[in-house]
Amino acid sequence: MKFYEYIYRDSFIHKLDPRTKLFWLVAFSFLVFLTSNPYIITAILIFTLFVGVFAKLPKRQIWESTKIFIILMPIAYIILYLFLVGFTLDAVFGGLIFTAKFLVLIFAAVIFTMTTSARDLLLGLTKLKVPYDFAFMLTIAIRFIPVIAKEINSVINAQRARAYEFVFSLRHPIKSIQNFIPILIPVLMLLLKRSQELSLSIDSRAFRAKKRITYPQRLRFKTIDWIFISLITGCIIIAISF
Amino acid sequence: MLQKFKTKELIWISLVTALGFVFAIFTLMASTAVGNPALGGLMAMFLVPLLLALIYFPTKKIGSIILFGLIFSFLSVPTPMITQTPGFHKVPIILVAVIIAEIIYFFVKKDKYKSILGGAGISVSLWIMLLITFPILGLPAAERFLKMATPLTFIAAILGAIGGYCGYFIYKKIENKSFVKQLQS
Repeated sequence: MKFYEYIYRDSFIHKLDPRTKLFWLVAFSFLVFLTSNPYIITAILIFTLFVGVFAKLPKRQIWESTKIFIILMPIAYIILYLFLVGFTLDAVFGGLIFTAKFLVLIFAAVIFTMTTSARDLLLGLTKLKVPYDFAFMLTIAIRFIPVIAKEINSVINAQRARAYEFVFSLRHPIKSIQNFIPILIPVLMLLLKRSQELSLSIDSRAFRAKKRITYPQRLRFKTIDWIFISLITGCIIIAISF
Repeated sequence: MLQKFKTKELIWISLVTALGFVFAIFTLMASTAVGNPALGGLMAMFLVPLLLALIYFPTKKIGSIILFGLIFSFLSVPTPMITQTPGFHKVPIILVAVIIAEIIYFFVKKDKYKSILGGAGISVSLWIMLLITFPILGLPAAERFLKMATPLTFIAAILGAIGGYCGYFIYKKIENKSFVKQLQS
């Protein structure tokens, strides 16, 4: 699982100010839930995919990050709609529309995190007046999601090598919970070790030693940022006016 | 509020939140694979209280649960975790639930009861917040969920209490580790 992993590429999406990309992410998140027009939702989805193409991200990696959602979500939502609304064509259509809304958000979030480094995200959030400590925590969490996912896989494989069988069944909830413990405790041990190393390394660089924080690099809106923001604003106006 | 937290504590909360997010993604995959997205919600009712205990007991500071809630809600915005739908509406939903859990953790004296009652509290409040927001979000057949409110609230309370207790049990296994001692010093 390579969810929320930064990938460096020489693209204009990578060069955009993180605040511009954040505006895009937030605007589209609200927009897909403000509208139920299938054409607008499809247009937003296509626009989001184009952003991914312009970002020159490896298609294989995007597929790896999102395949579970692309394959399973439409099926799950259609089944849910059929169950809740009834066996009609409208239910299938409703499920597909909801899936498209969901895919916009998931693609936008994956593209955002794949094109924005942890340093840029931290810088962008602090420029938006988010408290530095909170921005730091959010950045650490995003940065470590792929690392922790790899560690969980390693722990599962290590336990399997010891003939451990990971069973998840709704019929046997207590057994499922018991099965979860041999995975969780080693992962927590690894997290404790990682937290210790990380906090030592950060403290040794005089983290929070002074109230005023200085940054090695300053963020500045460029022409391309204004063009991108205008484009997004245009999309919002068109979508709302329909 | 953030100033009273040490760097170690901030990192611990962030990493456990990231762990929670990864587990939530795994459960989401499992629940969609079996064709029942609602299963993810039930798993969250167990998983979130477990993580709360793992965040609160090593740090033992007021505000740690709220920080967890805030970070988790922002991370899970593009995914259907907790609320079954992606979007920014989950930030206030999770925030209200974690504030309730924080209050329970603050007022209950014994650690074991804190985990059980806090766990049940957050699961029930998450569920109630969802019931309130389902009709607002225009989800299909929201009234059906309202009809099932009482039994599902009961299930949420039980799952939350079990999750909270499991979290406390796991904390007891790691409480003598040097880093946990450092966090509490």
